[in-house]
Amino acid sequence: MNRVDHAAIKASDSDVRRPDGGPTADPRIKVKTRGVSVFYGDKQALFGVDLDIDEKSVTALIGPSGCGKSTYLRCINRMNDTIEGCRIEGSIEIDGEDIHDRSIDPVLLRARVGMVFQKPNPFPKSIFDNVAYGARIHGLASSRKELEEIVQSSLEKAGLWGEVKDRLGQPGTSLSGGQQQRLVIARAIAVRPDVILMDEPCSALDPIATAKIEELIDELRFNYCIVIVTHSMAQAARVSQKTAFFHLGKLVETGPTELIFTNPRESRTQDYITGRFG
Amino acid sequence: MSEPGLFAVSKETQARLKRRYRSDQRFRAYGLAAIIFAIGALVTLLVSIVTEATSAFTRHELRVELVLDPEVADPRGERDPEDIRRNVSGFSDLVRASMRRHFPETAEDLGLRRQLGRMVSTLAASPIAEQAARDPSLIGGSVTTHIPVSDVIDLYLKGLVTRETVTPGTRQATIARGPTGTELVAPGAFAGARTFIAEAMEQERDRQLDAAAIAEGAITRSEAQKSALLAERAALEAASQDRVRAEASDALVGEDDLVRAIALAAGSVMASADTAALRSALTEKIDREIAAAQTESTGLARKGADYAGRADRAALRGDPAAETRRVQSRAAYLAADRRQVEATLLTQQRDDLANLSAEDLLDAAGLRIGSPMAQLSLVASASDFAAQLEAVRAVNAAETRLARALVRDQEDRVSALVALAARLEGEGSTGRSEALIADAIPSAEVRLARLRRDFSRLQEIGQTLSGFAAAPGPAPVRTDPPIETGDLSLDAADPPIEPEAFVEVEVAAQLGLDLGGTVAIAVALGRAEAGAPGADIALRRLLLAHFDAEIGRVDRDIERLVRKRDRERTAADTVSRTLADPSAALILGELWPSVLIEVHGGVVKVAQVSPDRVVGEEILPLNADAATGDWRIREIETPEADRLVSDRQASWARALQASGEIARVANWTLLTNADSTYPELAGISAALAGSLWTMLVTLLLSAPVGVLAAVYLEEFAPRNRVTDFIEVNINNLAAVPSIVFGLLGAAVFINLMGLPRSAPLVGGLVLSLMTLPTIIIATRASLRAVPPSIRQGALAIGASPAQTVFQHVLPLAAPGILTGTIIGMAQALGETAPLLLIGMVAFVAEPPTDILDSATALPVLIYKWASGAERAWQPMTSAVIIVLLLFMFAMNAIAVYLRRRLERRW
Repeated sequence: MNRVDHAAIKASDSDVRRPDGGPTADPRIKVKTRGVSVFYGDKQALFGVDLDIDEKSVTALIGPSGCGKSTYLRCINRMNDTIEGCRIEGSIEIDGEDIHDRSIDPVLLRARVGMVFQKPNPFPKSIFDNVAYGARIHGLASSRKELEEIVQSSLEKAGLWGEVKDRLGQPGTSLSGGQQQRLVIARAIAVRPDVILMDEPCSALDPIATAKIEELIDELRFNYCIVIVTHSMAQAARVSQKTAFFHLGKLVETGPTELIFTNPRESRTQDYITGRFG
Repeated sequence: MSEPGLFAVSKETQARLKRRYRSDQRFRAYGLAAIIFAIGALVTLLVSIVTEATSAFTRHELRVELVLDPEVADPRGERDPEDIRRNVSGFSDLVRASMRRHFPETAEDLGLRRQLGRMVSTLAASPIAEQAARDPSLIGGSVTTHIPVSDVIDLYLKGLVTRETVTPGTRQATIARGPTGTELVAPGAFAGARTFIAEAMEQERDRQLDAAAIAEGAITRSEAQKSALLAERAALEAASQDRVRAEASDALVGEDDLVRAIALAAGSVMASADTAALRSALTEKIDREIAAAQTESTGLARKGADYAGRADRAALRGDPAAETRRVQSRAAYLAADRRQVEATLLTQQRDDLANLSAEDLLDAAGLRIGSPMAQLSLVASASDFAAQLEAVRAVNAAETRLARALVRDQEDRVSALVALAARLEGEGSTGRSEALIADAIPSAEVRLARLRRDFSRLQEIGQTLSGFAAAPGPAPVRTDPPIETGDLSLDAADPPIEPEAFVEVEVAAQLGLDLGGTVAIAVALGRAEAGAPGADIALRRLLLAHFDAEIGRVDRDIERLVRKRDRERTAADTVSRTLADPSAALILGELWPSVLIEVHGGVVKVAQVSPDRVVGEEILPLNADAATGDWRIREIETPEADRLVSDRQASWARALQASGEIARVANWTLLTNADSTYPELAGISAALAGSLWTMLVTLLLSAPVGVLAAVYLEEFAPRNRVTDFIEVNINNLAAVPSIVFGLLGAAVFINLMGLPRSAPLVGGLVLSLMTLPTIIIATRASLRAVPPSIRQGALAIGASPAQTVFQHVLPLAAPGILTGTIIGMAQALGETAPLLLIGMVAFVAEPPTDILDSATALPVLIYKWASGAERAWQPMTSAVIIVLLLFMFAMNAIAVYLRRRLERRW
């Protein structure tokens, strides 16, 4: 992994506005999936999902447990590749590029598509090293000073700098749950991703920490494309601009969040939102 | 029961609750019992090892002032360091001379000088020689140094040889020197010592009475056996012919089938012309021999081919062993050819059987079963009594000559052994070879006695035979009608032979040839069944003679037992009579405990003790004659004959200890010395170095290979049948007995790859094979224990799989991996069996300096020392066990420490 590779990725950002004009597309669409189906061995978990995810906004994926939200999320950074026996069909494009193309290395893809998990999983290293790790392996900093800048700005963006600036050498695991989750977000930000995937980032946190994370998400949306899986309708309503409702492996409905919550087209969506099932 | 409250429950519920609590308590009690048992076992083990080992941590050293006489230290006078270094025996002489200065009375007596010399270690002089070699200017001056005392003296001083009690003399004693020895008189002062001896004598008397009773029981049994035999004999005398024949075939049960068949058939050939049975028995026997020769030949040829192959391989490697292998190959091929030729010859012989005459057949039979059948046939086929007698006498004479030659030869051997023992005694060599000779003499004498007995029996038979010649009775008359039996038939025209005399001769002849063996019976039975004249009578006499021999043996047993019983009884009676009078003097011998009186710097060894006075020999001269109250009685419980420390040596050792010449010091040489055949000089340094080298090889091989294999299997390998198969086999490998790895190592590393035997490299390789599964399993378990969230986190941030594993997963698994590795290493450190098989059990006198040197290891040293004959090896063994255990505890402590240190939470 070296700087040149990363520069290539960065360069691809500009492809969004392809001069050759391709089949293009709305520059506001960051991730475009068509007919995505996922199989775990013989079992099909997702059935032909078509979904466009907007740039610089928060998209919430909601739906009952086991409906395929997380599976869909994990398709976007190809984390499903690490699961034995998992097979993906359909096309997923980021900025118009097929992520399953042979020229795309999953490792580089994941540098562009960060991910935050349900349970905070900081590395058992210092706070500094947690944030700096990604920058180091992708060669984003040529000097210690640059690295420190990246760490500081990432922690600042994650709203954690003020709380940890005096104890960067302490292990990341010594922080509280909410702090850990913000640290993990800072870690993801540090590699300068375009997309941040969040898989129920607040489900292991208390309401105060949850509020902080939500606040953070709200701030981050001005710079990143964020996809969040959540079980909390209220959270989806609070943080997202667009909502997609999944049920039994199928995308049932998608649209602007206010619309989904106030006037859903589908009765299943209505039922779920109002708590009649799920 | 009051009114039902909130927790009021039914009776059943109460009973169920009670049962539940009881079962909880029971379970707790079981667990506690198991833990107490385990701790008890551990404590017992440790306590027994430590108590045994403590005596090995110190040793006794003798301070010697050596006058380095140039004549002895460097007889060539060139001051050449090599000369001096090699002259250990000269320096030993100097050590002995310096010891003699303490005890001048030993100067004149060879035996005393030898006893004194044996008190220090035989090789103790070699460090002094080494010192003088480095600095030859010391020669001519004098040197003070400390040398270890011999192991038995060391053990004696540590109180491990015998129980010893010392009581101060209570009264004023008068000392007088008389012709019978030195006499000490002090009224009542020796009552304790006398009681001490009396108790030992009582114990001995009880033992003698027990032995007499046992002998008595054996006599009763033997007499019962004898009367049974007599009854059987009487029955046989009166039995019918058929009964006799049945008895005879009973007597043959247990003989080799073919030998019996041949002897029977030979008997019938002698009696009749029917040779078919003998032919077929002989054919079968020869067939078997042919088969054996051919099998052996094939085996040898295979061996030859194997050696040839090895020679080729060795030649390719340029190994000089190639020539040796080639010679071995040729020798094996040659032997194979010889067996083949033998087989061909045998085949020829078998085919010839069909053409042989009855007489030749008998010759062949005699050859096959190792008994002179032909001579028997000579006897049986002789035409008249005189000729028969002549044949028998010739046979007897030949056998007597052979027996006499054997007796003379054995006599020569015995006298040679006795002479050798005497010479060794005179030269004062170490005890070992003497003991060997002493063992050899009695067994040689037993053999001689047996040969003499054989010889005299043959002589007796000869005398019987000459008796026949001297008194030629009337012409013998045959009772059985002569039968036509071809070549071997007795001519009907000859004057008939008197059956009794005929039978006498025949029995004598057969016994002479077969010395009462079963072949004679088989032949006689064969003849009887073929209906030879007089054969039944002969058979009966033969069987009776067997009974007579058996009865004679029982008689001799009884005689011997009676002698033993009487001897024990007499001895016990004598002791009883002596002890009856409480004031009588007891005579001490070397079979009784020793009583030593220490007085005036000297020691009197008591030979006679009564309550008021003792008489004995001054084994350490008294330096004053005046009566004095300051004296001590030393009672040594083990009789002098049963211990390796003589009374004199004990007294000398105590005297040197009292004057500070012998002192107890820490036994550092146990750590610094290498192995030795003398316990007092042996140490563990070579084995320790060998173990460390071996461990180094094991660690460097098994840790990286094991960890990488586990990482691959756990993190990268696809899950399929192949990996499942590998996983199952790694688990199986962990369960393979370690000795199997040793065999594998010997076959692959030493034989096939030609690595040196006894080398730490090979040991390390073998132990690595053994440790690998342990490390792989431990590593996989700790990799699996790393939560998947860490992997996902790393992957999600764009780390490659290898980065994920090596930067995140492995560091987290490290404590577990280290623990597994160290436990695997500790196991390997304690492993003995595989090392024995690859030759790491060799005697190693120098610590190995690299991984190709000959080496041994700590557990192997334990094995070797534990099987050492001398008592002194026992504490040494325990001391090594402690060192080994310390190593293991240290390794386990490191494992625990690393685990605590490196463990991180996630």
